[in-house]
Amino acid sequence: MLTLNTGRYTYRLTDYPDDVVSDIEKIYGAEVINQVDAPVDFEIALKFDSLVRRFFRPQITFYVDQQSPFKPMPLAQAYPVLEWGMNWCVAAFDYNHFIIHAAVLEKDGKAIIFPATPGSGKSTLSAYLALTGWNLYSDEMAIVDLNSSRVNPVYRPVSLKNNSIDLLKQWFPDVVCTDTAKGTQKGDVALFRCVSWEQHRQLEQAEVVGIVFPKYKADTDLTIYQLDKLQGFQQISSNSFNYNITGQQGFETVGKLVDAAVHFEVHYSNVSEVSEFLVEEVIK
Amino acid sequence: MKSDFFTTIVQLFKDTSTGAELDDRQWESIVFILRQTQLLATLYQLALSNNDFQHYPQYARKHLQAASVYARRQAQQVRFECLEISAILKQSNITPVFLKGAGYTLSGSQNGKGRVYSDIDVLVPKQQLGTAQQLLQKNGWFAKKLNDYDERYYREWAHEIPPMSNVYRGTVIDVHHNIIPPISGRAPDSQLFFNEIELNPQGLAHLSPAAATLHSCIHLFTNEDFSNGFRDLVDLYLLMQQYGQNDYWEKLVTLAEQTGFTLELFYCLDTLKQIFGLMPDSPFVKKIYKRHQNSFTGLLSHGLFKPALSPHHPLVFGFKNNLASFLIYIRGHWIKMPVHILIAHLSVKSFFISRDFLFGKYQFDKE
Repeated sequence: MLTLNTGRYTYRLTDYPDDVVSDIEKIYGAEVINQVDAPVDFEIALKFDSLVRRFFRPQITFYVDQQSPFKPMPLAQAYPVLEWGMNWCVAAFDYNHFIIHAAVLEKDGKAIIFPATPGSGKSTLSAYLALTGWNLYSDEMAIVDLNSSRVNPVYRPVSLKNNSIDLLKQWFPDVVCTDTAKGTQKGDVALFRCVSWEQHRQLEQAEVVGIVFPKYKADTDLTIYQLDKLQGFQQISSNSFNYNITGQQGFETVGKLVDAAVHFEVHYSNVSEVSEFLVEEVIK
Repeated sequence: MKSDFFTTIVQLFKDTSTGAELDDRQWESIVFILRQTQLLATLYQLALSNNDFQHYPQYARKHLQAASVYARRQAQQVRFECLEISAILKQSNITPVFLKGAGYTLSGSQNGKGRVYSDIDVLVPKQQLGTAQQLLQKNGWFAKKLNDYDERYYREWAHEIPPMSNVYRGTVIDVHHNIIPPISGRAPDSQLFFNEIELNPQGLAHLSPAAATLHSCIHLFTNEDFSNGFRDLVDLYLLMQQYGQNDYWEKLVTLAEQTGFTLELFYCLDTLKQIFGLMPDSPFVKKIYKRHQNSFTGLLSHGLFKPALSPHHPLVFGFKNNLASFLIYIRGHWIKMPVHILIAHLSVKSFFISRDFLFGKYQFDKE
């Protein structure tokens, strides 16, 4: 049994393969493990489901209480599966917030949302920014307040895929990350610790000043496109996990978000140029 | 310990003010159990209408509120789909009667508030079943692909056609021509239920409170699967609490007599008495007790229904409950199918269950 505090959401792990614990300790740190008692928001587990698959090409299944939202996965992917499962809990049960599939980074109390369009290099960018002075609010989901349209920080790692894993290790040789899980549904995956609990505790709900769609293109110069509010609205609502569930409240939240923010699409190959642009043009 | 939370939860639905006295540790277990039984939003609505919600601890409010947002959206969607389905079937002058969850939402009864569903159940006259199916198909509702065994099950033995889902929205409807499978030999004259129709302000048809109660009661107490049993029991409790005036009891009992389900109504009343302490003061209810109360039926409601109707969550569902629900599974099939069909059906089902246990649930899925 192990409890985990991610700031906004708390979890209790009841069953898990032993190896997962060292990854959790590495990524989250002792300050948030077994520090909360009851009540937790979600009771989760990684279990061996079938008798045969415990011994032969072992597979584990993610559970939130009695429910298993995904098919069983190879044991070697246990930790990424746990992280996806933790995201799933939030997306499936927290309808008190408007939730967007996006990374969120903040500087000087101003937050930028990076919606997760495929191939955007969103996680590479958010890991880079988080490790160069920006505050990481989330790599996977923007947790937006339904009344104020302000965005909340969560204490979670950044999930990097394929080539970006080595790239990040090259850029930041001291960065803490898990071993790479090969051949998952999303390719090779490793989790990176890009914020400490000490840093995270200082973070507060922030105003969203920009919505930026990054698009990674090898060997291109930085190109900026200004988008209009309609495009912003369309992107935010279609990247939301619960736009259809939150109904009118969700609609109004997107409206407020879009009204208060500037909207850009950024084609880049060099992350530091993006960072400069964000500071000069979006945060201001 | 296992029965403790069951008692606490029952108490919460009986008197929502007790929630203010529970500590966070108790609330955690209650939230898990009610999340699993899909009753979080039902409790939210009940506590809200009793003005008790604001006194609940912050942890409880957060989770109840979140669930209520989801339920609110479902209610909205159900109202929309029911209008659609009604309009489609009107083309051939068919008036669909919305049953169970959708019916509760349309009627505005307390148990419909915060209710969540997996599908929409409608009743149409048997002679119009084929027309209804064709009309729905023409308008984007298609039956899911079934394996040959399930196909035959529906065709030969069932009281409904295979579930149809909307190609655009994924909503699922179950079209029934009776409330219980004809193979049971107990299917009543559906006309008795068509006589009990009420229209909501949008002109959508649902059953009267007494008929809705009896249907829910028959459905639960002839069922073989009690995994949603506690939620169904809460439906019945709330319906009786809200509508339990004398003419309601009269109509309920009369309808049970006409349809031949007085025994099921007895089990329902007796189980509610044992679990919720519900004791309606009505001569019609006494009549039911007089007719069916004996040591055997008492044993069944106390020894079988009560433990099997506990929420199916490990915090409150232990060995005794599992045993009871296994016996219910056998009983449910027993009363609905002739013996030779039952044995064949259970063998096929248990083969699939043991296969999945051994090799995993998805090993044999068609990709």
